[in-house]
Amino acid sequence: MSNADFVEQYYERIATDQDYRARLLADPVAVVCEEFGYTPGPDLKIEIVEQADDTIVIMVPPKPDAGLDMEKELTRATEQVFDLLFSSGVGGFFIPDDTQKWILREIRLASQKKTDS
Amino acid sequence: MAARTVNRSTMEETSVSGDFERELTRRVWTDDAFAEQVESDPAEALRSMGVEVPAGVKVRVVAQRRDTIYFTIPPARDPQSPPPPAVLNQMDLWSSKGLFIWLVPVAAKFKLLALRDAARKEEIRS
Repeated sequence: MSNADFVEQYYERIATDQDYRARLLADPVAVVCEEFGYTPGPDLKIEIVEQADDTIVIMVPPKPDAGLDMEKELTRATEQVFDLLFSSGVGGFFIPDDTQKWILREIRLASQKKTDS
Repeated sequence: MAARTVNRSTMEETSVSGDFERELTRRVWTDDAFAEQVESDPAEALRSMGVEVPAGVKVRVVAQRRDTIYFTIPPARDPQSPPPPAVLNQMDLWSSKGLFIWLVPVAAKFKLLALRDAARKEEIRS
């Protein structure tokens, strides 16, 4: 199974296997890490954003660090509005902070190693 | 609660400007009670901004936290139902901190326009 197939099959499983979906929602860190073959650090937090055919999801940028100019940050964050319209679906990870970026890369790497072996 | 008193004056100065994204973000950043309500009861929280959620659509608001990775997953589907016409695409947003993001089913895109329009009309009225 190639890494590309792994991703598609994983989304297919999440969409159609109700028990698996329920487990993922109940304990995202454990289920994602098990699936990707990644060992989580103590601080890893994953939240699942469920898409549904009747639901508009709004993701508000996180509050800027104290000391930053609020108006400037408001302009910066909300002038970059991203509309994601999905037909059959767009899945993936949203990573608010650069430090989280490297964790996701490790997760991806783990899944690649897992599917290559 | 002290923070809320401070924020109330901020809110009065800044009624809805017609820029829904900006006003919603401002409220979430400056009003902790609103930030909680917008996640637990989004329709009511948006109503307090003068924005009515269009009928037939639900709204969910996620205030991103920097220590969290968000994994968006496709709509649930009956295993017996035919697979969707196109495969699900994977898209990672590496700096979602700097973005205001709407995740909208195609079927609801005109509802999204209605929602944004409600914010604009509120401005024209005031």
